[in-house]
Amino acid sequence: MTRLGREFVVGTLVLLFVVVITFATSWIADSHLSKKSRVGSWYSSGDVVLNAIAEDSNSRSRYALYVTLGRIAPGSTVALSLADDFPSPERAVQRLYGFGRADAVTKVESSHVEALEEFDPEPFVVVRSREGDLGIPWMIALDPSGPIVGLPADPTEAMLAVLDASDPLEIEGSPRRFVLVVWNVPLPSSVYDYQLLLVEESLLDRGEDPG
Amino acid sequence: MIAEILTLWAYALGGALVAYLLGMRSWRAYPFGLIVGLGLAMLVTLVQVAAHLPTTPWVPISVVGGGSVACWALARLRGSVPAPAVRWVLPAMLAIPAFIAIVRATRQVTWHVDSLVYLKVAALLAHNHYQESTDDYLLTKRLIGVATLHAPASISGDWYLPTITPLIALATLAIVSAVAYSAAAPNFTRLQALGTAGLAIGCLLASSRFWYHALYLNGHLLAGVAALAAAVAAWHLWNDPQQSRAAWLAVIAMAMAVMVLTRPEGFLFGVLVIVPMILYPGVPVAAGRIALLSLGATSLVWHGYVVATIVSTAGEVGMEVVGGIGVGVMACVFAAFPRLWPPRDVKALGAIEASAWVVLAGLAILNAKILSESLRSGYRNIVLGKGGWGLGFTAIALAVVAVAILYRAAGSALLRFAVTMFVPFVLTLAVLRGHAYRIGEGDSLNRMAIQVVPLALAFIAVVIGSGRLRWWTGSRPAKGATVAE
Repeated sequence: MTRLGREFVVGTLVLLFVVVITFATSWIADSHLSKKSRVGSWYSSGDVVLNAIAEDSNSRSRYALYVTLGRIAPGSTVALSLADDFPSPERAVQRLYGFGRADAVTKVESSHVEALEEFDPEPFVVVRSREGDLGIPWMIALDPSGPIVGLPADPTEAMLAVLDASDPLEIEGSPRRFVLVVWNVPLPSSVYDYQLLLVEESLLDRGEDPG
Repeated sequence: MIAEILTLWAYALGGALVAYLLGMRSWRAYPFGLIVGLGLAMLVTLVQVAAHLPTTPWVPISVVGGGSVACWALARLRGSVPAPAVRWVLPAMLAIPAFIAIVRATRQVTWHVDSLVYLKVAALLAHNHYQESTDDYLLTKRLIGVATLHAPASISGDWYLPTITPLIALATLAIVSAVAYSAAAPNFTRLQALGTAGLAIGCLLASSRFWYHALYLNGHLLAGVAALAAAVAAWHLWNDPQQSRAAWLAVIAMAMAVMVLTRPEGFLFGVLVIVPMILYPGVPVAAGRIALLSLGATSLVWHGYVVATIVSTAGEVGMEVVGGIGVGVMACVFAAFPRLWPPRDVKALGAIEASAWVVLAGLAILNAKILSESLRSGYRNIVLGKGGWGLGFTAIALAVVAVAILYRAAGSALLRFAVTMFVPFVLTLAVLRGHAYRIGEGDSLNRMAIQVVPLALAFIAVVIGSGRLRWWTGSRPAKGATVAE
């Protein structure tokens, strides 16, 4: 064997060693990982944002409210009320712009204080979610004058329907104006004693009765 | 999909055209050109962000895509470059939509909750809300590199470009195989050289973690291929200083910009790649200077913007930002005054590698808890492979040690230094940031490991292809054979 031949053989053996050991062990290790870290996991959608929200409590609790807003009312204007120690308002602004596709976000010390005291959002809630690993339960209350066609009646089922829809289920007459507040009424059996409420401003302005 | 096609044409083919114009007249212009294109796009975005200009992704797409075509047209008018052959350009233009269609059809994604933060930044950039809403966390941990890749998705109402990360993975494979072949071709038969190159990328393809990162929305593989591209460019410049000189220098410059703007520790990782360019005899001084200038200027502008933004919101400027400015200033000074460089001596690299472990030992005395926890998690996640690596990373590490012992290969230190410095580097980072790496697949060190793997495999392949076995007498037709390593 020539000198170069021996060097080639030694090098080939080294590389083959790496290939064999890697192939034999890394795929076994891969199979023990969670779905999001596993290669070859199959998703019904190619959209990682929707997959993350559907599959991961952590992602859902951080982003679902905002992605849902972006799906049903892109280009909206949102007033974020800092009252009641709104948690991480700066992050909420980023998420409203980034995932909520809001056109304008303003932080206000408080918004519609008197109207909110008298307001019961439940009849107007069309989408809601329980809390996740790191997030607070939330709900979106819409003015019934601008319904979302094709949305399931059950608000807890509506979130995934909104996210799964191949075409965004936009509110008729979108974009709209919203207020995002801390709503000091706990969801039953929730560890949090409040929820986030994204409510259409028109509901608070008019004090509308759902009828 | 239209936005993705336009973006990839601009960044991949525009970058390749720049590399071609600068003298890289082979298929290598495609993988290295992607690094050039992405670096240019990130630098344009940096200017938009730092100058408080609108951050629409149309600007980097237009500048990189349109600018490269305009430069080519100008060069053609002057008659200073030959036209690229249609048989190279047309297939590449058609291959990109085909690749996009395939990737989208497979619906394969891997993600971490961090991925969504990058996509949030991308959307903020695309819709001109980044400057008004960014915060310390986004500025210091997420930067703008990954977001720059995906911001064009907003043009068509998407969150991200599914194909750009797989394309980066393809470029990684191409660069590893190219350098492996280049090193082996003068010494082996053509078939042997191809075999060495094939086995080198086989090591990557055999690893589930490479596939994970090929589909993963994050910046680890991008930082890894940037480090690889810069080190390989330096190796080529050392091997043949005149061949495609301007193109290799451009690759180094853009790779440094990519590293600084993609990962929070990127400016430090970049230093690890630059040090051998400065200290290794035979590397053109211009390589070290342009690397320092690119790293320094990019780091200064970015971290300067970070400081200005944090101060304007009455926030606290952290050590990582101060460090970025300090490294930026130092790099610019060293770029301007090469006389300040230490004497070139390959032994200095070994001394630095040894002293890094001494520094780490000192840090261990100061903060043993962080270091011991980090070692424990690194051992379980990476060495034992519970983080998805299997024994693949350990096998690569053993192969690095084996070829370093078995072979003597001039020039290989240009690829080796950042590899052997990686362990003390990441452990020092843990101490500096004040918390340990953790056990689990989502640990940052477990994901950062891919940043060094392509470079390690390139090192192994170059040593095998161009080195000689230490117990063998006689010489090998490689430049600088008298340099002992």
